Amino acid sequence: MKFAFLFLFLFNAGLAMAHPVAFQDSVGIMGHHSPMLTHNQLNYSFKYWWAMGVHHFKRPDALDNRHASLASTNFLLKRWYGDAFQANVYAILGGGKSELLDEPKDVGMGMLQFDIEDRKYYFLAQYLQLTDSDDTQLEQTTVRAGLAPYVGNFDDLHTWFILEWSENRFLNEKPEEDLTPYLRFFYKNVLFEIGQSFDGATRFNYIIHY
Amino acid sequence: MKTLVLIACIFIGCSALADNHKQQDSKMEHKDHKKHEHKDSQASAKKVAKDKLLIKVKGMVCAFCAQGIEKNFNAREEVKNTEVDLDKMQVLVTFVKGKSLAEDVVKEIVTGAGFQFAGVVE
Repeated sequence: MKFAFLFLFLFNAGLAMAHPVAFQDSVGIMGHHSPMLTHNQLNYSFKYWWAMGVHHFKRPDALDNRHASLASTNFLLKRWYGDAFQANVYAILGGGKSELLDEPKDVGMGMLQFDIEDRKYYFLAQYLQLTDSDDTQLEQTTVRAGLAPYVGNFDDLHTWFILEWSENRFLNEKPEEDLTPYLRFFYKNVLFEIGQSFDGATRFNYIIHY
Repeated sequence: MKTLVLIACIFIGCSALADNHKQQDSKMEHKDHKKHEHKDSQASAKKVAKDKLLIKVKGMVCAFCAQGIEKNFNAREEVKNTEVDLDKMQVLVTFVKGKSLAEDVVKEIVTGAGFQFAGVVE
């Protein structure tokens, strides 16, 4: 088991803070916004372990309209229930059309995510890949760790300090790495994060469940 | 061709995972059932008489993730109010007068929200 955690920690990191499967019969809207790439998604969880979703990627820095639209099926592969923690492994498989690079192409998407948290600490590692028939168009790797300055109860406003390392690698382009401190707030079913990377880029993420 | 293979893989993956989760759920329920077997009849009898039920939930460490418990309990017509306590990892369900939920339904709601039912607090 320890080796499985170590493997995921070392080799599978990713997009940000996605919550690809939530509770049964719930809708989740979430987005990750950076100057280089935005990723918005909408998921419906049929079960606590299975959801279907739609995704939209866009490159705000591109002069022309570079984007990708995909549908996916999302799985909670494994959940560990501890007395004081919870850990999860999620996977996403999807397909759609991408114009992130020069010309429109059919692409497949794969994502693997591991996260573990208790009420004070949080860790996430995620790896996402968009691949067409010839090449890997996009690889994203993210690792993040969080600390709650105080422990709130169910109805409180929760605050977290999060440090995120991410890398975006588009085909034939220089990989871009970022280290971004975030402030995360959530209250009830709304979560919002805002951060500024050390090179000055502002980023924000959100999740809403209902 | 690749798209077809991808769709086939997704379909096979879904089916395999569904079977796996069904097995896990039934195992979990069987385990919980055995664990609380001796308490079940006692708890059920109490539940009919009480208008509140206090349950223990395992893995409930995040308020954002626990919204599903509150939402799914409150969606039941038998439930008047739901209070989640992360400190104690407990959920207090208050029923509409004269109504209640069977323990297996409570268990199903907790499991559906993505947590593990750890029993009724006496």
